[in-house]
Formats: sequence, C-alpha cells, structure tokens
Amino acid sequence: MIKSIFLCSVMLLVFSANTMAHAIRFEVEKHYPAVTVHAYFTKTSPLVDAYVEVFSPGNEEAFQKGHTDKHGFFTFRPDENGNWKVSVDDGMGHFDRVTVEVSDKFFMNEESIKAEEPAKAEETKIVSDDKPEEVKQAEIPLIYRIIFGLSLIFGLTGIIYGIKAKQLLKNK
Amino acid sequence: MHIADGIIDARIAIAANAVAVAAIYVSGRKTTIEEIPKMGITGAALFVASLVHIPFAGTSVHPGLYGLVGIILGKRAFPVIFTVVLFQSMIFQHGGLLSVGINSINMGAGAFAAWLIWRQQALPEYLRAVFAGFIGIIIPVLLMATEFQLSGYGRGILYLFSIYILAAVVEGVVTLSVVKFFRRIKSDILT
Repeated sequence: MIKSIFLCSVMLLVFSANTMAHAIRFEVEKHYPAVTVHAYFTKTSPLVDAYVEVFSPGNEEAFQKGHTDKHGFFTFRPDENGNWKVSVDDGMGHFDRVTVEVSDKFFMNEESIKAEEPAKAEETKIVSDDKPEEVKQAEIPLIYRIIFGLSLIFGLTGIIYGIKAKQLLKNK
Repeated sequence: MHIADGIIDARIAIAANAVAVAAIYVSGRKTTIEEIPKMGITGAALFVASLVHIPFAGTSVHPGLYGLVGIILGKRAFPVIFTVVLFQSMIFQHGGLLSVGINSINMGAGAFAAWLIWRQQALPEYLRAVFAGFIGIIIPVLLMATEFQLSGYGRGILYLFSIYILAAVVEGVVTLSVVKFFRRIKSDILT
C-alpha cells in the first residue's frame, strides 16, 4: 500500500511538472513602436476582455490600463528601455504577469522606419515569468490529463476503501 | 472560480491551508466504508465538471456542482472538494498550489451551506434542491470576490456577481434535475 501511495505521488509530481505552465501563456511581439502581448490558455482559448495593466521600468503606478481584445491581444507603446511589466487579470481568478524587456535594439528600429526601410520585428518569443520555455512546449492532451486525474481519484478511493476494510476485518 | 497563486497574501494562503487541513480532519472523521465509494464517484464528477467551459459575457464560466456535492455528501463534502481542487491545480493549473486551501474553503463553504439548506425538511424538496444548487455557487463567488477586493485585484463584487448569477440559476436547475433523477432511481444516495 505504501508502495502504491509513493508511486501515485511520484507520478503526480512528474505529471504536474510537465504541465505546470498551462495556466496563462504569453506571447510577446516587439515591433517598433509597439509591443503586443497575446494572453491565452491555449491557442484556441484566448483571454478575452481581460484587464491589463502596464508598468514602466521601476514604476509602481500603471503606465497604461486597458483590456485585451476578443483574440486576447493588447498593445502598448514603450517610451524607454528596461523591463516593462504587464499584468493580465480576467477577473475570474486567472491572473499572471509577464516581463517584457525593451532594449536599445527596439528603439533602433525607429531609425529604419524613419529611413523608410521596412521595419523588422526585434524578436518574437514566448515569455512568462519563471516558467522555462521547454516546459511550455510540453502540451499533454487534455483527455490524458482527465484520465490521469480520474485514475488518481479512483485510485485514492480504492486505497482508502482498502484501509477501512482492513480496519473492519481487524475489529471483527 | 479558482484563485491563482500571487493574488492572496502568501501568509493568508498558508493559514487557509492549515484551516483546510483541520476542516478535513473534522469533516472526514469517522467516515464509514459505505460512504467512501460515493465520495470517490462524486469527486470524479466534480473533477471533470470544471472542464465544461461555457462562454459567457466575454469570458467563460464552468459548472461547480458544489450544491449537489453538499446534498450528496453532506459534511463529507469538504475532504472531497479539497482533494479535487488539489488535483485540478496540479493537473489543469486551475488555481495555484498555495491557494488550494483558500479555494477549498470557498467551495466547501458553498457545499456546506447547500447541505444546511437541503436539511430544512419543512420546505418542499424541489425548492431545497434549486436553492441549494444556487447557493452552492453564490457563496464561493461571494467569498472569492471579497478576497479579490481585499487583495486589490479583480473587477469587483458586482462584476463577478453579474456573471455568476445566471450560472447559479442554471446550477440550481441542474441540481434539481439530478435530485429528481436520484429520487427516482436511488433515493438513499441523497443525505
């Protein structure tokens, strides 16, 4: 029995480690003069009309406030380099923050635009606080997670039932 | 309806976990062997119910079934809700791990209130079922909205209420249908 509980715990830890990043995901595109943040749970379920606050580097007062559009996008225009914080809150218990690093390279694109050259996106990447990129890529199908969860619940029920049954037999 | 980590102060979240563990002990004490399969099946239904997302008012709501859980399990609802919230948090990232305690307390309070309503034998059964289902959602939403408000997050009590009030009505109707179904096929499953 102890072996089963141990095995269950190990599986749960391993499984949850692989899926830990599937709360809110962020995709940040920096393309002078704007930074666009895409907030979503999965590519097909964006955070629609979520409340967004943008904080400029070192400031605790919001630089900009607004809501994501129906596709989960929000755009702002940074005016200085540094680490910009963007917080997203859908008002339903889903809240997360993302740090957007705005470097000199971002503002250098300004020159290319002024020179009427086609501007290039500085970089496109998925960023989310303290969640490594490779973890985000591990998309375990929902059905497997449901089966896994149900297995845990029924397994746990079985274990508790077994313990109770043993106690009953002992008392008899 | 699951609060993520980082919204509630960590000290409060830890204290809520301690309260939840104590509540598991109190409500799970002297559980009989006959109750265990019922708890397991109800837990499985609760676990899956939160995955049914219904798009509404630019966001989405999901059934809670806390009222129904309260009706079926009575005071045994809390250990089941805690376990389910823990697994939902680890497997689906519904809410944070540190917030499992506070989420369980919110939802468990809904189930407990529903059970209290269900026990009011003086009222007709259909009324008790609808009201239990309704209150099973409204109490957790009220608690969650208050916690959000106190933490300085969220769009306030009124916003959350306006979204969940319809969900609570639907939940009341669903609870009534399930109660009527059980009354017909296996009456003793209801506490």
